[in-house]
Amino acid sequence: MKNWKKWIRAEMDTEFFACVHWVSLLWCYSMIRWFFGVDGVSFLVITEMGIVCYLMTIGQRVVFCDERIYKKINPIVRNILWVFIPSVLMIVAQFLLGWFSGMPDVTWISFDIIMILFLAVVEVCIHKFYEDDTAVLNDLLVKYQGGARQDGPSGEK
Amino acid sequence: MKVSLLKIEEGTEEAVIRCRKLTPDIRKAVLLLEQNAKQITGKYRGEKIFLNQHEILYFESVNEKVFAYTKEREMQTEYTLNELEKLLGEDGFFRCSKSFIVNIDKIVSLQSEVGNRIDAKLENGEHLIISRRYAKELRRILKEGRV
Repeated sequence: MKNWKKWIRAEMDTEFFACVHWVSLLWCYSMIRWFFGVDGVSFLVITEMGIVCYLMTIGQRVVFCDERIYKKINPIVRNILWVFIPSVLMIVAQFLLGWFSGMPDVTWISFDIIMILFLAVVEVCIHKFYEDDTAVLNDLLVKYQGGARQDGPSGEK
Repeated sequence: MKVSLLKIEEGTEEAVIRCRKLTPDIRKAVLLLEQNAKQITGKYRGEKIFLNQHEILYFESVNEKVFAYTKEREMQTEYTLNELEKLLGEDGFFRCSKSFIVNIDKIVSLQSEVGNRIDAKLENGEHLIISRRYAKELRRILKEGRV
C-alpha cells in the first residue's frame, strides 16, 4: 500500500508539471499560428503536445530523482539539464511531428526561443518559491546545532 | 592552566581547549572527554580501526556493505544501517534515505526543493538529497531539537 501511495503521488506530481508545460506550449503555439493567420490547432497536435510534455516532465524528474550524494558541480549540471532535456525533446518532437510544416521558419524559431526562456523562468521561479522554506530550514538547523558552527573552534562556516 | 566553565541551557555541549602545544596532560584531558563519544569499528585498507562518532559525516549502504565517511577517508563498518540508526539515532544521526544515515551536526546548509525534498550540503562539499518521506522526519527532529 505504501508503494502504491508513493507511485500515485509521483504520478500526480508528474502530471501536474506536464499540464503546466502543456498549457504553455499550446498557448505559445496557438498564438504564433494566430499571428501568422492560422486560426485553430488540430486535436492531433494538442494530443501530441500533451504526450511530449509528459515525456519532458519525466526527463526533468529523472535529472532530480537520484538520492545519492553528489559533488559540488552536479547541482549546476542538474539545473542546466532540467532546461536542456525538455528543450531538446520539444525541438525534436516539433520536427518529427511536423507542428510547423508549411509555415515560415520564423514561427518555429520564435516558438523555441519563447519556450526555452519559459523553462528557464520556471526554474528560477521554483527556486524563488522555495527560498523562504530554505531560510526556515536553515534557522532550525542552526538552532539544532546550538550555534556551535558559528563560533565554534572548527570555524567551518 | 586556567579552567573556565560556561553553563548553557540549550545547544551542543562542547569543550574547547586552547593550548600552545599538545602536551601529554592535554592529550589525557582530550581522551577523557572523548570517552563519552561512541566509537564505530570498521576496516580501513584491511586494518581494523575505530572512528569517533563526531568525525563521521554519513554512512552509506552499498551492496549490503555499510561505509562510514569522514572528511579524510571512508571505511567499511561492521554494522548494518538499522543497527547504526539504533546506536546513533539519539546522537544527531538521521536516516535520510534507504541507504544513507547522515550526521546532522555535519550539515552546513539545507535547501528546500520541489516535491518536499531537501538538499543537504555537508562539510566536505558533498550534497545529499533527503526524500519527501524522510524530509518530514528531519523537519520534526530539527523543530524538537536535541533530546
